[in-house]
Amino acid sequence: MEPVISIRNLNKSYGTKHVLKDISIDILPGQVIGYIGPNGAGKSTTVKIICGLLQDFKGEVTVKGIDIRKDPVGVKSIIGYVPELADLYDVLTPAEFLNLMGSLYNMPKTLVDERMDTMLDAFGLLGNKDQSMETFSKGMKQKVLIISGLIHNPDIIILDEPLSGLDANSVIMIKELIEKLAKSGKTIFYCSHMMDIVEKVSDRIILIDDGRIIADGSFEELKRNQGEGASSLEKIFANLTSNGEMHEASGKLMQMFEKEQ
Amino acid sequence: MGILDKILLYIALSPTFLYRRLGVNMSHLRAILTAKLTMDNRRLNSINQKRTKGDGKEKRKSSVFLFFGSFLMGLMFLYSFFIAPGMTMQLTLFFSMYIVVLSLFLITDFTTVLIDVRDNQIILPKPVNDSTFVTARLIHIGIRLSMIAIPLVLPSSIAFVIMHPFAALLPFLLMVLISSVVSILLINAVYLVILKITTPEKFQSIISYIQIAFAIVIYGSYQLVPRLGLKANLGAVQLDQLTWPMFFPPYWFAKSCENLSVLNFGGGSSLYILLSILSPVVSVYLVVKYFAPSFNSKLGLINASAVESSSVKEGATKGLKTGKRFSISERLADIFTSEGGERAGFMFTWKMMRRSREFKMKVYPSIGYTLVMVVLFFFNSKASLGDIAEMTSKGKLMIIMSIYFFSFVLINAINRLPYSDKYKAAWVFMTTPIDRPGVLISGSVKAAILVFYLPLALLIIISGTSIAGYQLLPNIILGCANILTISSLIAYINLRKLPFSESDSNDRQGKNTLKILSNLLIPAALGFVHYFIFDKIWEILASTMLAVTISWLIFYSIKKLRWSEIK
Repeated sequence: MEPVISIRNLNKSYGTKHVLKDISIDILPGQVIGYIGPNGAGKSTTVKIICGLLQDFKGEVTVKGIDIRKDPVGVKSIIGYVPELADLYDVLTPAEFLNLMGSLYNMPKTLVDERMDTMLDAFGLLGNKDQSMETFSKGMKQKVLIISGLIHNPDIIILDEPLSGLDANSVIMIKELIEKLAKSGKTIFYCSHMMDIVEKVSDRIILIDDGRIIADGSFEELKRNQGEGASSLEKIFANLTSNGEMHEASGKLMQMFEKEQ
Repeated sequence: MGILDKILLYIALSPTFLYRRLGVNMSHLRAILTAKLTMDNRRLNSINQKRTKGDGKEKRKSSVFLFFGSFLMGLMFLYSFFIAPGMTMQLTLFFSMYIVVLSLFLITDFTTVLIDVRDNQIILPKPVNDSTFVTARLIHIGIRLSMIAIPLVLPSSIAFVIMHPFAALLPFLLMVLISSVVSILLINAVYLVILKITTPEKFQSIISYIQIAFAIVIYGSYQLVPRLGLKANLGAVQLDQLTWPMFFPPYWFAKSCENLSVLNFGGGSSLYILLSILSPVVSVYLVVKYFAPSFNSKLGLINASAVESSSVKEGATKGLKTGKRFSISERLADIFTSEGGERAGFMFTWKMMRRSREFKMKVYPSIGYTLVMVVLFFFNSKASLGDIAEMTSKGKLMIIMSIYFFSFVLINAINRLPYSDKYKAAWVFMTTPIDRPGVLISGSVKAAILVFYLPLALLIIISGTSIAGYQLLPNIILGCANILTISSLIAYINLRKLPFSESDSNDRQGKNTLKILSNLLIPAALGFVHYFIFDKIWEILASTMLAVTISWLIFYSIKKLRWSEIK
């Protein structure tokens, strides 16, 4: 099967800091990729490159056969991106914000209105449609963001920590939505630090650390490779990225308090 | 913290034994006040409206700015000592101005001091006792007040000492103190009234409007009052023979001051002294007893970020008028923009301009300033409406001036378009498939023209034709066409950023002299040319056609701007 996202020898530096080191990934249609790694590993940079936000990288990235450097606009129109902790123009109402997004995706207004109502209703926000978002809670804003990333019915959906601030019911709904979207052939790229959710929703997990891929496979495969003691993704993550340093760090902290007593 | 804060804080904290007796924890008190004053210094105030972000040096200047700003205002009070004869008249004028100006200062600056709801989350959970907390708040208010009041009164005190016996200074300062307390009551009352008639969500907007009006009034009075006031003859007015000043607190203060300085306690005079001393007592009683309780509970709502959805629903039923299927903005968008990006830029900018408090704060005052400038010009040129009707050279100049002066409002608005404190939200333009970002800019400029110039243009057309008849119409139309050219040209030169996508702190960077000059020279040059062809109908028609064509071409080039040309 033709990969929907193909990344070949991707390198990216900020000044002298080498953030991504020779990353190569092929992603197939309908896959749910859990993209994980410690803080500063290069997750957001990868996402920004796939979305066409960063252009000055080395290597090759194609999305549905489109070279991202040659036609970033073409790529942007088939990707739905839900950024992490994104700012919103919150003096607008959800209806106005989504109409703005719809126009930017070149959708006819009638279609935007129709989809918007259904989606706002699904997230329980239909009653808040015409209220300024200034008074919205973090979770309500996050829901609007998720809708704005899905409204143009994209083939590829990139979610960067999409569940932050959402209540338990919305989390369940999003998890089910991800499964259903994947079944209908959409490709989902899911970045998160919440290991239990990544473990459940993804059918392929890519772990990067310090700009390199250090594990790639389904949860079952990763478990097999790690052998005994790797009962959860959290443990696999810790084994691969920390060498037990966090146990040492927490130990040191406790020692500090004990000494003082 | 500035040097002024430090001195005032040192003075305020010096009676340590007193605070200890009240059960105040001195190290807490010092820590809270230091943090509060540091924050105040970094916050924008009504005089220094530029938010000083990022640049560490400027942060420390805010209190100095406030000091000199109020000092300049204080100089204006000297006016009352020059035009009025006799102490009573002088002081009545002085106290009226002082109370009004101080209250306006306090309304605009005190919202953040009185109503810092972050205290509830930051200070209250810590082991800080109540008396420390209350004392900190009172001292904070006292220091803020002194920072404004001292420089405000300084020039007048000097004038007072020069003009009157030195012994009168003490009663004068006492009355200043009393009127300051009365001013605090006044703003408390204003806050309460605003909260009574609107929702807490709108409170901040109303305060912003008061702030804008304040800026315009101050500017206008600086420019206009000295010119108008010289004509008034105050010598003929005998305050003592009128009855209405008896109900006017500034008059009580003036009377008490006069009587105290000569130790006159006879019948009527002690009544005024009694009233003066009672007024702050009654004020404090009213504030504590009636205003404060309902106040605090409501104030808590003002800055609350997350409002529960039930209360959101209540608030929203009034307020935004988005329910209408086809709003004016949508109709205008249909007429003036093409589908897609340009329409999006138009609708987006339209809403942001009308709702963003920050944008309004930066742009609306310029409408007032321009109006003052035009009125001033009218006074200085000594032109009359007859001059305009008969289109004498003075009249022509007035017409040209009023048409082209108002373009500064639009130019100012256009130059503000890229800035927003929500600049990070501009990611939406990056992740969506926008081929030519220029369409967003052109849509946005069109919205600015329609919002900021169309009403003014209509005003000029209506007032112009009603004064001078229809023969003025071609000139006004040429003026409007030229404004279109000016604004599109300035947008093309200055706007290489997406709407509302830049942090405010970058505002001053990248503004070179050439750009600022172009803002002034382009309208001036076109106005100049217009003046010379004023009576030549064919030239006017040709110029109008030319201006429209040029504007169209400039808009076309703006639309074609590529990502590589956007900063």
